[in-house]
Amino acid sequence: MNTARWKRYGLSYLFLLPSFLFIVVFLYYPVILAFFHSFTDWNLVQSKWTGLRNFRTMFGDSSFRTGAVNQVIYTLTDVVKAIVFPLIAAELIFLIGGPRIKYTFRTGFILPMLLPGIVTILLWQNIYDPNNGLLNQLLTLVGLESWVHAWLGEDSTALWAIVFYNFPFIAGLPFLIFYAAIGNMSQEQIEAARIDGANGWQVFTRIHLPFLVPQFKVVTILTIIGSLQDFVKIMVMTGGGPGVATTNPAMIMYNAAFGSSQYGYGSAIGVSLFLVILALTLFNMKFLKTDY
Amino acid sequence: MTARMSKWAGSAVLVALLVATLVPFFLLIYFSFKDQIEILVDFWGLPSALKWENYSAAWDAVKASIGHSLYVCFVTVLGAVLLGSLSGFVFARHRFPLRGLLYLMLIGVMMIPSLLNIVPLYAIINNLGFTNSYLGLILPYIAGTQLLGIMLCRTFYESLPQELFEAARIDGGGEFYVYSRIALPLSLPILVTVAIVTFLAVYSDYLWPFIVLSQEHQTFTMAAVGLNRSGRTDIGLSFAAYIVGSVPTILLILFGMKYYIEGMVTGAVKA
Repeated sequence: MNTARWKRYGLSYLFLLPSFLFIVVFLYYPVILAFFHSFTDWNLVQSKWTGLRNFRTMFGDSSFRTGAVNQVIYTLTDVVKAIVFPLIAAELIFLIGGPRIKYTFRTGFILPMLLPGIVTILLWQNIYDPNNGLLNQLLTLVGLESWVHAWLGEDSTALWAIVFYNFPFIAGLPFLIFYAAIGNMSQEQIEAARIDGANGWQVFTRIHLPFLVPQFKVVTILTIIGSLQDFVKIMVMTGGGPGVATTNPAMIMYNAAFGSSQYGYGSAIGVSLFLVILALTLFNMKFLKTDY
Repeated sequence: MTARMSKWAGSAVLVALLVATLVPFFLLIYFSFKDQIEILVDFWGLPSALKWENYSAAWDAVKASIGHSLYVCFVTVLGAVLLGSLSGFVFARHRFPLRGLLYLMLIGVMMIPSLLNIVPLYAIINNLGFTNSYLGLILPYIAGTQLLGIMLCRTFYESLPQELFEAARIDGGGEFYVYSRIALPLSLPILVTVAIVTFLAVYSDYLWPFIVLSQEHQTFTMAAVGLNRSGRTDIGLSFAAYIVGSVPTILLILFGMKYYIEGMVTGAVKA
């Protein structure tokens, strides 16, 4: 590049340099490392090329298969959780009218967002506590002592205890997305349908639901991507146990790397999850594209 | 069903959902005022007296970790705001070769799931000698959080009239002068959004500090989980500690609700 050009553009590049330094070193370079080391045996200092062995180990590992099945359960339920109750809450708020009431309920539902996520996780761990947890105390109070469980400690209940974490699942982004969308709906169309004799249910199924399709798509894809990466609540509440009853691939990745120093194997699981997420994102862009 | 009945039924469902949503929240506050015996023996009963000593004990238990968290948050926010506005300014106001490609590189990075980076990022931090140092947190945090700032600032600076910047140049101001004296002050509202979203994300993060830091440097989220592990012995104290440690997020969201929701929705939908 000649000096005149350099003078003209150099400053732009100079200003961008800090940002790109951060991005290259802490975002792009790790990706390259992850891909490379997924084919190696890696202890952070040295690595030995092992080809596809890590991936074969992964598919041959019975705990990984359990984790994968759990992940399917987590992801499917996460999508249902992200849509059903947040949508019901958002719809009902608009049904009952009055700006003051609307504001009160909206604020009420997002109040738990004031707490750092980890506090909510710890609270729910306490709710499931066998001795002084809210759930068992509540069951005892209403005379259902026989239903009492060590919810997070028993094979048969631990997975579902994690699924029901944060019931009724309203505080969060999906609720805000639905609430904003319903608030932006044109009222004239709904009025017209009303005059034609449509009842509330018909207005909901024929006008609201089709209108909300873009929001359903956005919430679904964001939820799936989040679900595949989510393991902190599992890590804190059960550590993946009892045994491997509540584990998922991300949790196994974490344990492989930071529990048993198999950084190569951990990278291989990370890369596999990335490929699944990438496939879903591309599918989303091609078939579910929205203007939202 | 008449309209009035359905309205009544709707309200009943809504109230039930709200109560269910807020139960853990109330539990947190209620138990923070009870002592261990009262929780064990009389789970539902009112505390004989409000146990404010839970709060003083909790403060002693988590004040150091809150300090660590605040320090990490402030430095990260500063970095994210400065880098975000500077690069956003360049992308909005400069024309140069590879501009499109470089911007694509920034946006593209959002497609990379953070999960993939946990293991190799730890290797990088480890090789740089930043494990057990706040730099090991701050540097990767800045790298990721500046992106929202770049996006928002770029859009904002593009919407400003070009004449504004021309005038400053004619007055003899250099590029850095234009950025720091014109662009930066004007974009303050956007930067507040970036700052709030960044602060809350960093303050709430548990995984990365847990991987990088030791107990003596622990952040609030680490201390909270630690209390829960060892602290089966004193739920009242633990709950009080959770509340004390949540004060920064509570204040920030209450005062910046509008900015927070705006930033969160933008970030989530564009990602």
